[in-house]
Order: sequence, then C-alpha cells, then structure tokens
Amino acid sequence: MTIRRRIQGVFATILLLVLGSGAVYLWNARQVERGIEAMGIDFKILQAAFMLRILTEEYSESGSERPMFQWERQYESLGRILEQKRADSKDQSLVDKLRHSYKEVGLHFRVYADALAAKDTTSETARQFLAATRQMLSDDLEKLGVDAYRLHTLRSSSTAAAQGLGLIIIVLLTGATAIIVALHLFTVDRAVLRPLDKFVASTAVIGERNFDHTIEVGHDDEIGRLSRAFNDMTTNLRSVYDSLEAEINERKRKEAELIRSNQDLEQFAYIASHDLQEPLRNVSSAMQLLEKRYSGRLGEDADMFMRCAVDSVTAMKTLITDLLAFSRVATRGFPFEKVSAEAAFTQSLQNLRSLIREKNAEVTCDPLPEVMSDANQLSQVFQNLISNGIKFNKSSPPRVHVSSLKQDNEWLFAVQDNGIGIEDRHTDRIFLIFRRLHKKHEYGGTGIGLAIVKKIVERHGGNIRVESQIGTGTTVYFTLPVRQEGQE
Amino acid sequence: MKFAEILLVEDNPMDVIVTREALLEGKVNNRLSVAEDGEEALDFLLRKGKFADAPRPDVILLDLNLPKKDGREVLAEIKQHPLLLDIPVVILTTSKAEEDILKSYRLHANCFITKPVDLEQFTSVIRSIEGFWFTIVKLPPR
Repeated sequence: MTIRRRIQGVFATILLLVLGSGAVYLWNARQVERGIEAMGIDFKILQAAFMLRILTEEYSESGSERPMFQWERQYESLGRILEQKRADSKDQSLVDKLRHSYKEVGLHFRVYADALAAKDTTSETARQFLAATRQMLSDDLEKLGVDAYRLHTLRSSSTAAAQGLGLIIIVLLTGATAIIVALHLFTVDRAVLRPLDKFVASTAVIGERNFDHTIEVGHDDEIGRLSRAFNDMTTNLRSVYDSLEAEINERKRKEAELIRSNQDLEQFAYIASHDLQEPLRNVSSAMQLLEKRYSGRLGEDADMFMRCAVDSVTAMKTLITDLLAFSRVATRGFPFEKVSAEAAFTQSLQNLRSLIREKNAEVTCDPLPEVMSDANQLSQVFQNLISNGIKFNKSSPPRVHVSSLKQDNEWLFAVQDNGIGIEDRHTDRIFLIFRRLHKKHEYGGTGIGLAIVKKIVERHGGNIRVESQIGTGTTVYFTLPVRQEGQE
Repeated sequence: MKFAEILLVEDNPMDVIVTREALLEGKVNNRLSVAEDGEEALDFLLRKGKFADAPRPDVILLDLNLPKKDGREVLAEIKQHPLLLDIPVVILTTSKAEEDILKSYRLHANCFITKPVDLEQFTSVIRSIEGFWFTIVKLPPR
C-alpha cells in the first residue's frame, strides 16, 4: 500500500470518526437538552404541588376566599403544566399517576371547601367530616408531592447520565484520534524516515565510487519506487563513470603516443639538421676550393656549375635550418605564461634592427595587451610578419603597424603594411611550407616564415588570415585566445 | 728560421684541406701536422709509437666531434697532463651549442671558434687564428 493511500486512509478514518462521533454527540446533546427542558417542567410540577400544600394550609387556617382563589389558580396552572407535559416511556406511568392524583386532589378539595363553607361547623359530625376530608386532601397532596418528586429525580439522573455519555464520547474520540495519529506517525517513521537514513548512507557509499551498491528498501510504495529509481541511477552512474574512465585512459594513451611521436620528431629533426650539415659543408667547401683554384680555367660552363652547386648547398642549409625551426614550434614550445605582447614586439624589432635600418622602415604599434603565450614564439610571430611587411615592399618608406582588439574571449592582432600586396587567389597558399609567390632572387627568403607563424598561432589555439590589395598593402590578422593562468 | 708547429685534430678530410690551404696563405711560416682522431692526437702529443719523433706543437686546433676518442675527452686529458697543459688549445668546431662552449671553457680550452661555412670566411678565420697566436700572443717557451 502506498504511503499516499495510507495517508488518505487515515484521513478518511479520522473524518468518519469525527463525523460519527459528532452525530452521536449531537444526538446526545439533544437528549440532554430535552432532559433539561423536561426537568424544568418537572420542577414546576414539584413547585406547584408544594404550593398547593402551602395554600391548602393557609386556606384551612383562614377559611377566607382569597386563599381559595389562589389555590384554584395554582390548581389550574398545575393542570396546564400537566397537560403540556409530554411523557416518554420512562415516566409515562408516573405522569399517569400524577394526572390521576391531580384529579383526586381537585375533587377532594371541592369537597373540603364545601365542608369548610358549610354553616354547620360546630357539631361533632361536621367536625369529623371536616377532619376526614382534610385528611384525604392531605393524603392526596402528599401523594402528588411524592410522585412529583420522583418524576423530578428520575429525569435528573437520566439527564446526568446522558451528560456523562457526552463527555465519554469526547474523550473516546480524542483518544481514538490520538492513537490513530500516533500509529500513523510510527508507520511514517518505519516507511519513510528509516529508508531515508539508508538512502543517505548509500549516497556516502556511492560517493566512494562503489557503484555496485544497491538499496533494498520499501516495496510497493513510493519509497520502493524511489529505491528502484535510485538503483537505476547508480547503474547509470557506473556505466557513465566506466566510459569516462575508458575515455580518459584512451586519451592518456594517445597523449603518451603523442609525446613519443614528438620526441621522435625532435630526434629526427636534430639528426637531419646535424648530420646533414657535415656532408653539405664538405660539398660547399670542395666547390669553393674548385672555384678558387680553377675558375676561369675550366670554361664558362664550369664556373656556372660550380657557382650553382655552392648556391644550392647554401640553400639546402637554409632549408634544413628552417625545417628544424618549423618542427621545433611543437617540440620546443614552452608552456604558456603571461607575456606582454609589447615586450615581444620590442624584442622582434631588436632582431630586425639591421633590416629596419637597411630599408629605412618605420615600424610602429598601438598599446598591446598581455596574453597567455610562449614569449619566444610570440616574438617570432611578430618578427616574421614585420620582416615580410618590410621585405615585400616597394614603398618609401616601408611602413608596418601592429594593433590589437579584444573580441569576446580572444585577442585579435593585426600587422599591416604598405607593401606590394597579395592577389586574392594566393592568400591561402602563402601559409603552406615553402610556398613562394615570387622568384627566389626577387625578394629572398625560403618561404617558411609564414608557415612557422601559422603553426605558432595554431599551437596557441588561435587562427590566422590575410586581407590584401595589390599595390596598397597587406594586413595579417591572427587571434590568440584569452586564457586563465593554469589553464591549458 | 723557426717555424710555428701547429697540430690539427680533425677527421673531415675536406676541412683538413681547407685549413691547410688557409694556413699556406698566411704570413707566418708554419708546419701543419694532422691527427685524424682523438687517440692519434694523444699518441702524437706524447710521442708514442710511430710518433716518437713528433714535434711538440705550439698551438693545437681541436675539433670536438671525433671518432674513437671524443674531442672533449682529448681536451680534458691535454689540460690535465703536466707536460701538455701549457699548450694553447683552440677549439675549432661546427657546433655553436652553448653547452659545448661552456663545457670547453670549463675544461680550460683557450678559446672556442665555430667554423664558418663559407670558404672565404673560414680562410679568414684561420688566418686570424694564425695571426693572433703567432704574431700577437707570446707563447710559452719550448
């Protein structure tokens, strides 16, 4: 049985009890009321009988007419009351007796009154007759009085009993209600509060990640439903936890793999750069020695071949250095910390000192924010972008300006130049490794500068794009997300 | 006339040729001896075996990356040996790594030079070395 049913049942029971008892009590109250009313009448009867006796005394002493009139008035009044009186089963016989006595009293009083008013009052027979009628009247009055008293007492004791009954009903009702409520409270404790304690204990166990724990509580009631739902939830928690754990393990595995892969890459890059350098140098040295000893002596072609070989070796060296730098964006990146972008900008200007002087370039910046980043890499970004802005530039003087703007939770940086610009159809290619848009001898450089910038920006979680117009200039936009300290 | 004795410890034949060329164009008369690995270098300096008549070098040009015995070990041994420690050692190597520079000086190398790639620059460096150690610097008496 559900708790709700139980509560409804108790409620209904109490309601019935109250209604039933109420009805019984009301009926009882009516009985009491009637009793009291009847008692009033009975008391009047008693009083009247008593008054008749007194008046009879008065009349017999005085013999005058006034007491007689009074007696008759009292008698009539008693008669009216007796007529009013409604008898029930208890007092029917008494009331009948009273009514009979009443008649007798009336008759005998007539006789006495006549005897008293008779002229002949001195003879013995007259006196004896008077005395006899007096006595009869007295007996009747006495009987009347006694019966009236009995009637009165009968009514009063039954009324008192009824009142007592009323009180008992109240007490019983209160007691029954109290018992029912107490029982119900006890039931609530068993059905609800103890299971709740078990639930609380269970949450502690589950908090310890023991997901096999089930709770067995209640049966067909709401608590039972709750415990089943609770157990389902625990099962779900377990499977969610397991799958999360599996995912974390998978991620850890992938992370370890990535670290290993990065280490392999670093090793490869180092070896490639280091061990390739020596044979390259040898070729270069050999070619340069040949040039020194034999230029002009092996024919024009030979001179060109030798120069070409030397230049190629130089180019290879630069390519290797650039590739190494590119791979080191990942393998030698530092963890991010709060870095002043202005300081990074200033550092890059330092590194570009000679280029700036050579080209008479004007490089400026707006106030730049503090960002969570790798200081070296940020400086490298500015250096590469500013260097491009100066190199690919025919204006006089070449100008490059760096600015920034806060957007939601990222910083947008812009590096703008008044250079030669880039055609729309090329703007995607320029970020690819070694993609150059001009012939080698026109503007120098290997074409890895922008690829490195893109890699650094992406390592920081940002992105990069280019807007440009041929002949006017180029602006490179890149974003760096705003991070909190300690975030990755 | 006395000439300068120079020991070059270098395994790369091209570099040996280039060094030799550069020294030939120098102002100072010099004789270049070459050891191709660390063991040979020490045998030469200590006049062991076939090097019994080896001259004592005035200056040693030492590469760091050598087969058999590594240049750093050779440097350490030279600078700890009572008979050899007063010979100036010029580290002449392709490396520009800071740890190599620091380590070399800590092992009492006299100076550290990174070999330039370009032939002309290399020649100029060799001539500078020669000029510095043999015309400006006073060497310990033999």
